[in-house]
Order: sequence, then structure tokens, then C-alpha cells
Amino acid sequence: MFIWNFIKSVLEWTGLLNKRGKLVFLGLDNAGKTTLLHMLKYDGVIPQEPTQMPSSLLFALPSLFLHSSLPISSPFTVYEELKIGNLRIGAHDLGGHEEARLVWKEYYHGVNAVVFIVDAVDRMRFPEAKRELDRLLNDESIANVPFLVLGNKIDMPYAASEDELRSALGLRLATTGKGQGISRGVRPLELFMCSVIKRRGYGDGLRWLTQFF
Amino acid sequence: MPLLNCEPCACTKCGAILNPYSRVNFQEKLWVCPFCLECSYLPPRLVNAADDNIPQELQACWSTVEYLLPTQSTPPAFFYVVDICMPAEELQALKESILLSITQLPSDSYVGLITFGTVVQVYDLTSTDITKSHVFSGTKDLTVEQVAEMLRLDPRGGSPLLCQVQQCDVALQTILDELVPDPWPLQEGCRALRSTGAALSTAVSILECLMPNLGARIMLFINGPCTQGPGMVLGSNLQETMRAHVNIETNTQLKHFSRAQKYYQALARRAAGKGHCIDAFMCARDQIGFLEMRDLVECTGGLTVLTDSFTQEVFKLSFSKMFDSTQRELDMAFNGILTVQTGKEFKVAGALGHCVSLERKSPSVCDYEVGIGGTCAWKMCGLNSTTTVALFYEITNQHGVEVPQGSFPVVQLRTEYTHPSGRRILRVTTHAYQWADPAKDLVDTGASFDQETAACLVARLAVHKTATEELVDTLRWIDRTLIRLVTKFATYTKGDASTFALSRNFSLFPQFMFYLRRSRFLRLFNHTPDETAYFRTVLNRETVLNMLTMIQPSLLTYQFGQPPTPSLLDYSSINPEHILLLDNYFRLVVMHGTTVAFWRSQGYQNEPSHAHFKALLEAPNKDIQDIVQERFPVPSVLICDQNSSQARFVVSQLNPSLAQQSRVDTSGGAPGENYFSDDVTLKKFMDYLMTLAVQGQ
Ligand SMILES: Nc1nc2c(ncn2[C@@H]2O[C@H](COP(=O)(O)OP(=O)(O)OP(=O)(O)O)[C@@H](O)[C@H]2O)c(=O)[nH]1
Ligand SMILES: [Mg+2]
Ligand SMILES: [Zn+2]
Repeated sequence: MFIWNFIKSVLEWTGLLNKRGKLVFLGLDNAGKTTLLHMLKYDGVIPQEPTQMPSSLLFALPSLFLHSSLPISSPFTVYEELKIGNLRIGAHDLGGHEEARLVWKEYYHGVNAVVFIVDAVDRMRFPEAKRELDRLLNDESIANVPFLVLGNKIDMPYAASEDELRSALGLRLATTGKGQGISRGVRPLELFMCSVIKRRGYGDGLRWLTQFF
Repeated sequence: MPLLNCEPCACTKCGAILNPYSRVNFQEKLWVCPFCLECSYLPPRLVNAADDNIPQELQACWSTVEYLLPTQSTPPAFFYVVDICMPAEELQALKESILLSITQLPSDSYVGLITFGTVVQVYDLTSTDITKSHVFSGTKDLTVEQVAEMLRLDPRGGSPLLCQVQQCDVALQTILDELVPDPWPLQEGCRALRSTGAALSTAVSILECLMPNLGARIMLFINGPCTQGPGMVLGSNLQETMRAHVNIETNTQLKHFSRAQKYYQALARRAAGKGHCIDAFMCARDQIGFLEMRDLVECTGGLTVLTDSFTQEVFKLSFSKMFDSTQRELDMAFNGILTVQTGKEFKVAGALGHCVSLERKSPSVCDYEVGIGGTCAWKMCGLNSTTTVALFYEITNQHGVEVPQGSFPVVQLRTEYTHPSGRRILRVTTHAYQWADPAKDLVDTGASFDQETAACLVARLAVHKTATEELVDTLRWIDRTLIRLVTKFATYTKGDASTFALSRNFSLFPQFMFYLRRSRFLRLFNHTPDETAYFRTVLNRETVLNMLTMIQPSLLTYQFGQPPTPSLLDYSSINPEHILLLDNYFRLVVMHGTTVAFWRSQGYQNEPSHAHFKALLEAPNKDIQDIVQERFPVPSVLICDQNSSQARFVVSQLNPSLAQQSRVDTSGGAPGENYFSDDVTLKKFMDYLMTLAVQGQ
């Protein structure tokens, strides 16, 4: 009993017990939103059609993601055995083609964070991606919501570097740092590079993001 | 097919209609019913029949004949039920389509109009100068009696709510011209208040009073979910979001689901009970609640279209095609009843399609039920030339009595329906099957296997199963069905997969199952419940050929100097110098290979010296036109380049033979460099199937 209480208090302290989050995945079409969600839910890749209507799904961020965000002293193994503390995420996957963007605004209510994905290979569309991102960042109704920007497809030979994408999206001065915690009253905003297909990078991004829930 | 202007001659004992499989004695004027062996006299109109003067209904070349029934004819009614909670440009496009359809209707047909938003408005179509309408609350669920009293509906007299086109087209035009998006103010953070349920119920009640058992269709046009009153599928507060597949699977956060579903089911049964059909034209960028409303269409034989917007061709062309009478008359029939009669060798177990049971028992009905069973008759309120119902039979010798080898069991299908002209017609199809017992004669049984139709039957059954069981169970059922079939009909040496072979009329079946398992009917990810329900609804009413296109999309390749060739639905069909045309029934996608796209961007098609390139670019157009012509709903057509965003419409459908897997490191540059998939390939599927099959049971 004592052990349980101890674990519980550790979890409460880290804020992870029974925690749920609601995310909305946005970005231009072909950025990789649906591919990422499929990977998070089923741990594999299956080619998908462009998303037509907003779908919603629920998945648990594997504890793997959470390990490194727990304090070193926390009892990992027990934590895993108990199968608690998996962060339950509800996600809205919205279509990214132009007409589909018309319904984005109906999904801002009560979201804990926005994940905005950019295809880091498709340089021609960086301006379009920037325009949509700016529009979102300036939207009153999600004014304080944390933003994770993912630069996807870095497995491809000509993918933009983090630096290049940061400039192209006008995020040089806007991002708030990849570390733990940030100063009060500032909206968390950070860019992480990733390859969904190679299972790289998005874990760091999501881990960074969930600390703000 | 002959149309006989006379009364059908029915067996006095069992009601079967005289047909080519009846034995007839022209001298004695007698015929023997092939179903009950009762001997009856030929009717007086056939007294002159003789061996050299065989009446059409007895000629073996006509397995189907039609009879014009002596009933009074009434022209059909078309009830427009229109959502007005939509942006002005959407409403404008919708109004134009409706106006066009009114000009297409036969001038003696009846029309009615209801609009709905926060309130429900029923229009009086007799006043030409001022628009008169009755306003109902959108939150009340009124009974038929209440509606009848409030609107003073009198089944004997006419009603100003339902008038003949020729008398009210001017009034209708005025009303539609003045129609504006719902003027009721929107609350902050809220969706529009849309009273779909109340509006539909009102329309059903009006038709129930004025046109019982006469041809009528309610055409529902919607731009969003029902957010208030009966049939509400989503709260008006934006904080609430539409249910997703995950909610249905886990039965969580389904606040309105079952109540709404029950409401629409009851409404569908009411409409079907009076012979009326309900169409749903859903044009929206988000879900509108079709999953809950699905029975409205499936129980009444209505038509459906689901697309983004009323301004789109998919809606505009499909809707106007419904009333296309270039082929002389409308391709629609009303208030149909299908009756099945079998001999004693097999009995009918059920039907799957857009119909409802009439709960009619007969000796042709078996105890075992498949789909909508326990009856020999089904109602199909709306039907047209492509309506296809799947019928399932059970062989009765499974219960002891054997069917003699080589006998010819007969089955008769009788479909009574109202033609758009208002005339009542009976269509009689009689068919005899040559009997082969699978237990004794595998070769003959196998030779009669129709793999295309079989695949479609499995698809309908699978979709039917998903309504009551978990998806994995349905997938396992497909696997078991396939394994059992090939174990029985393939040739192989036990235990040796390399000897496995299937005869020609079985060879495609496993592949159909492979694509069915991964089709939009059975894979839910990246689709909403509404989309899935829509796909399944369309599958459930189309012909075998159309269903096959849905199950396994067709792929055509266009290349220089060659006629278009059908290609494998496989990554290996992608070639930079080719153009592909993918047809998955709902969408036609033209994909230009990278080289073709490059040449096009260089403008080669505009240079006279590259006329053949221009011809290549234009080659798919003719095929597209042909498909668009004959299909309902009209597919959406798009052209894209290989590796572009929209190319995913093609790539997602292909067998991932050359794809890279996400766990395998192929940085050295594998063949399918740009394609990633961890999905099962056809080869893997077949290998597995053969291994299992040769183990035998
Ligand atoms: N090379 C590479 N390709 C990727 C990666 N992630 C996704 N893709 C590909 O990029 C495309 C992205 O498709 P989706 O995930 O459907 O894109 P989406 O953002 O959901 O697009 P919409 O639904 O149209 O808004 C697919 O063809 C993927 O195979 C990646 O990490 N590397
Ligand atoms: Mg998507
Ligand atoms: Zn008889």
C-alpha cells in the first residue's frame, strides 16, 4: 500500500496519472499527418488516401515516450508493470487540401495542443505552409495553445535542414526552446525534425509537447 | 424482354406464373406447374396457342417477361426536403439544381417542398403572388395525425402542398428564388440549428396521408448534421464533436447515437410501409450523421450522393442524371415487391440489398436466415435498372432428402412495381438450374462457379456482418470462407504448396478477397463512420460489375502508340512514361508518370511536331466520359502527377509489391524508393493461403 501511494504521488507529481490530452493535427495535404497517426496507433505504415473528412482517434502514447521525461529516481519498472500512466491522446486528423482547411476552425475547441506538420522536402510549398501556420498562430481562439511544428521526411536526400525550415517558416525568433519548461505567459512553440517512416524525431517532439498538458 | 398487355396466368394452387418450364398440352389446353405439379387450364386468351404458335411467356428464349397490370395509374410524387443552413453560394448551387430537375420531371408528376433550419417550413404551392407556408417547430416530433390535422390533409381531395408540376412550376420558381440561408442568428461558439429529423418526419407524414402505396420519393438535401429535435446526431455546441469509429468500437461518448439511429430506423419503416423511398444528397466537408440515417436509404431503396459541396459536378451531374429521360422515360420505379418462389430442392434463406422484409411465409422459405430472411417477399420502394439484390438459398437435401443428380430445380422471381408513367407492372423471371451435387460431382459443381458474383456475395455478407460483429471477426470469416473453398476446389498434392493450382474460373477469387479485405468497406482508418456507411450503402445496391470495381479498382495504362491496356493493380504498373487511369467507382484518377508530367510542363503537347504526345494526354478522356455517362453517383474526376499529393489516391490502392518497409533499412536505394508500406502483399497472402490449403482438413 505504501509503495502504491508512493508511486501514485510520484506520478501525480509528474502529472501523468490518468492524464488525457486532446491534439489536433494540422498541415498542408501530403505532409504526413495521417501517416504519423497510423504509426502512433498501429506502429506501421500503410499508404492512405488524402483525408477527406476529419477523423478522430484515440491512442496511448507508449510509456517509451514517457520514460525520459520521468525523474531519474522514479521506479520505471513498477510503473510499466502497472500499465498506468500511459498518456491517452485523443487526436483529430484533418484533411490538409485547401477546401478541407475550411473546417479546421471547428476543431480548435478544448484542444491541449496543435501539431503542425510540414513536408520538409516540398520547398515549393514552404510559403503556403508558412501562410497557414501564421494564420493559426494569430488565431484568437487558440491563442495560448502550445504548438509543435514537425518538419517531416528528413530521410529523403534533399530534405531541408532544421535551420532552413526554421527560416522558411519564419520561426527563427518565435520558438521557445526545446528544454523543459519555459517562462510563464509565453505560448510554447518549437520545431522538431522527423521522419515518420523511419520512426525518428517525432517522439522527442511529442515528449516536449506533452510536458505542457 | 416482352411486355404483355394481359393478365398473367397463375397456378391455382401455388400462385406461380406460367413460364417456359411448365409442361403444356395444347390439345387439352392444360399446363402443369413446375413448382407444385398442379394441372390447370390455360386462360381463354391462350386457346389458340399451339406448337407452331407458342405464346411469348412460354418461349424458352424469354426467361423474363413483363405484364401490364390492370390498375389505375397515378403519376409519382417528388418531395424536395431542403436544408437551408448553408452558405449562400452553396444554397444558390442547390437551388439551380432543383430548378433544373423540375423542368426534367414529367409534367403530370406531383411535387412538394419543405425547407428546414431552426424551423421547418412546408410550402403551399398554389399561391403565385405571395409565398404561403406553414411553419413547424424543429424540436417537436409530431405524429401523422397531428400533421394531418394541422395541415388539413385530406386523402380524397387534393392538397396545396402537393401539386402537379404543370400547375405549380411558377410558384415553385418564386419560392426557390426567394429562399435565403437560415435567417435565425447563430449563437457564439455554436453550430447552426438544423431540424433534419422533424422535417423528414413531416414529409413522411404528408405522403403517408396523401399518397399511401403510390409512387413517391422524398429527396433530402443536407449540408450538415441534425443538431436539434428528433433525430439529433450532434449537439449544437462546438465543444462537442462528431462521433468517430473509435467511439462506436468502444461504445464511448455516443451521446445521441442510438436514439438518433432508432428514430431514423422507425421513420424509414414508416416510409417503406407506405411504399415511399427516401434519397439523401449529402454535400458537406464534415460528417452529417449518415451512419444514423443509413436505413432511410437502405430500407426504402433511395439513392445517395456524398460529396464536398453542392457546387461540385459529383452532385450536379448525379442529381440531374436521376431525371434524365433521354432514354424515353425516367429510369426509376416505385413501390416494388419482390417475391421468390422455389421448388422443393432448395429454399430461400434471405436477401441482401436495399429492401425490407414483408414477413411473408411460404413453403419456399427456409428456417435458416441469411441477411434479411424468414420471408419470401421483400419491399423495394425505390428501384431502377441497376438495383441489385443478393438472394441466398439453402439446399434442402442437406436435411435428408436428396436432389436427384441432373435434375432441374426451378426458381421464379416476381417483381411488381410502378413504372414512372404510373402503370403497374409485374416482371416474372423463371430460371432452372442443372443440379450437380458437390458431394458427388466436384467437377460439375466447380465448373458452374462464378467467381465474380461469388466475390460480390461475400462482400455483401461481410458488410452485413460488420453491423453486428467485430471487424476482426468479419475478416476471419472471409479468410475461413476462402480457405475452405480453395481447399475443396484447388488441385494439389497434400502438403506440397508448389503443386497448388486453381482452375480458371476460381483463379481470380483469392485476389478479389485480398482486395476486399483491404478495401474501403472493411478498413476504417482515415475514414469517418459516415464515409464508411456511405461506401457500404452504395455497395449494397449496385450490380456485380460495379461492385467488382469497388472491391478491386480497375487500372488502365496508356502509352505511346498502343491502345489502353488493363494493368495489374500493383506498384509495378507505375512507369514514368505512362499514364494510368484508376477507377475505384467513386473516383476516377488520371496519374501522369514523372516523364509525362515533365514533358507536359514543357508544353510539348502544344507543338505540332509532338502531336502523338498530345494524343497520349487526351487518350483517357474518352474512357472517362463513357464511365461518367453510365454511372451513379457520377464519380469525381481528377488528374495528378506521379509522386504528387493526389497520387495517393492511386498509390493507396495498389498492391505494395515493390514498397519499402518501414522496419527494413534500404538506404542503398530499393526499387520502390518512394513507396513505403508495411502492408501485406498479394504474394505473401497467396503463399500463406496455399500453405494452409494444401494442409487440407
Ligand atoms: N520519405 C518519407 N515519406 C513520408 C514520410 N511520412 C509520410 N510520407 C509520405 O508522405 C505522404 C503523406 O501522406 P499522408 O500522411 O496521407 O498526408 P496527410 O498529411 O495526412 O495529407 P492530407 O490527408 O491530404 O491532409 C505519404 O505518401 C507518405 O508515404 C516520411 O517520414 N518520409
Ligand atoms: Mg491525411
Ligand atoms: Zn403451382
